[in-house]
Amino acid sequence: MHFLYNLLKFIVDDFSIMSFWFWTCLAAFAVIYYTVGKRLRVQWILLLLASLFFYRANCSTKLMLWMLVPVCLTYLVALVINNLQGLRRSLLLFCAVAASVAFLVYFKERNFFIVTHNALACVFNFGHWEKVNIAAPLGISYLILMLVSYTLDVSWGLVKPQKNPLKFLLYVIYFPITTSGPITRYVEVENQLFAEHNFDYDRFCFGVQRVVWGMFKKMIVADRIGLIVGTIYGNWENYTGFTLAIGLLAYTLQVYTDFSGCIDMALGASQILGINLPENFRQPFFSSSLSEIWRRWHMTLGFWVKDYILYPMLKSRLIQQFSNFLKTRLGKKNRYAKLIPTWCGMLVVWFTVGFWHGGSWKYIFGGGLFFFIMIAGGQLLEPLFAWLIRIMRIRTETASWRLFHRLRTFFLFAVAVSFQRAPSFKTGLCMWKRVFVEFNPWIFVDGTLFNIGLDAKDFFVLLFGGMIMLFVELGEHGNKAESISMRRWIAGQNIAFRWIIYLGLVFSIIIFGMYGPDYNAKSFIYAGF
Amino acid sequence: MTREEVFEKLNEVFRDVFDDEDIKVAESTNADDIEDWDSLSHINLVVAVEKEFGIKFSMGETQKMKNVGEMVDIILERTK
Repeated sequence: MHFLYNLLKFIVDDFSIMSFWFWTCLAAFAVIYYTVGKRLRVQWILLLLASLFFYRANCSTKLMLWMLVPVCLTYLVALVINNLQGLRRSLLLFCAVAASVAFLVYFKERNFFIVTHNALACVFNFGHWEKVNIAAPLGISYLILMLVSYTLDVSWGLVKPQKNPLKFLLYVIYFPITTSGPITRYVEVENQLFAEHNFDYDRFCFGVQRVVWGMFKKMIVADRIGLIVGTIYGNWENYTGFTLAIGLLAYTLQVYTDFSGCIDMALGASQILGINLPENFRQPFFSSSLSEIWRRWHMTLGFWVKDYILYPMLKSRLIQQFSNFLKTRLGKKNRYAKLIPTWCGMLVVWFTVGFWHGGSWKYIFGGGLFFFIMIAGGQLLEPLFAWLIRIMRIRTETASWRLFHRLRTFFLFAVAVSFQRAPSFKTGLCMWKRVFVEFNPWIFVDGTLFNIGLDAKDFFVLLFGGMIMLFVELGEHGNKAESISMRRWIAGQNIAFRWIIYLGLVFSIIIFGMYGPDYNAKSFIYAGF
Repeated sequence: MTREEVFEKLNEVFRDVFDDEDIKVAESTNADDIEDWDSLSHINLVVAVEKEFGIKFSMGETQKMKNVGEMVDIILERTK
């Protein structure tokens, strides 16, 4: 008994999605799930128990109980909302959404208001508030967005409310999605979570492959880029020119490989259990514009803000009246009469996206407002760009033009994201200023690259890992008709070739993966948002 | 109003929203068929259709409509 207790405590001490124990337990769980669970028709109950165990293992009991507050509230509101009419219904809907958002703000974004209050206090000379750092329930940012989407979907008649509170709890804390999403709508999983699943060998293999691919991204690529980023951001005063630019731009690559690796693991773990979750990335760095990149990057967040903020805002009476006013003043066909009301909605959306990433201006700017400025600015200046392209006789159907667009999009995106890693918005600006004080292209050949966090060996491992990722992304890029699912492509090859690839990936993780006593694999970047 | 009449009116709305006089919509026309039909223009389109036919789409319908045919079904139901 004592041994069992110690074993459980040991597991509970480190049971993140990157821990050895998580995957060992998942393998054992899958066996029980497909045998006993299937026979007794209790698969969803087993999922709930596993999810509760996972939640408790990564979060204190007190915070877990806190998490249940908005969950219970949403569950109850959804049950009664469609029985109400008129003002009472609108009021209850507003209160339910506001309460969930207030819960998120209380735990995650309180310091934004404290810092803003202190800034005003300096101007108007009144008392300062101390910053507060409190622990938040696991995955609260994702959980609240899911609760809001459920409440609104029920009220809009898109889904029927779930009457069983335990089934509803499973939807909210289903363990593969609690760490970093994807933000899953109830309608996307309701038929899968509570259904019976037979063991499917192909689906199981695809799930395992996806998990291994996620680990490859995280442990071979993301964590190595993290060393470069950590070195440069940690001592940014000592770097200038291209060296500093490498660190700033590399952060975006770190976020992508880290976050998409985490999502691959979550989707793979879920696929092993027979439940398909929504995709969160679609080769974002092949985008030709910032609006396109946001349709391919953190897609579930993009869909969420579109469906629950942008659409309701643009359909609101206020925006419609404003739109009519502009059309009357500027003319029905005037492009700005169409664009300006849209910008109002976009401004709110981008502010929300930035604010969701963190309650400080570096997130609001780097995670949101920068994109608003660029997209709205691009639309505003579109006639000028079109004129320039015409008079410079640029061929826009060429590969070089498309490449230019993609590089430009990546650069602008990376500039914005780089602010999120800086200690503050002001420091982020100082860092970019230092990029332009020196022109030092020789750093690419004089060995400097091997002295910014990685030695030559690790640098080439990173380069090799990056090349494999690029190869896979190139294969999967394109229209649905043209793109290749690499997993399906590999599955269609001969057994010897397949296993060379599988074993190659597994051994590369074992040999080159970043782990060991000093390594903290728990720290997924997006787990902190 | 007949289905054909709805399509006639819809063609005008689509041409106005997407600034393209050559657009001609059919039952199966969806966002993949019209280059500028993204999430932003979708909502502008929905609002323009609402004005043209004097109806209101719910938020659920706004999200669920998969093609023009589904839009026409709702319009015909509302304008009965």
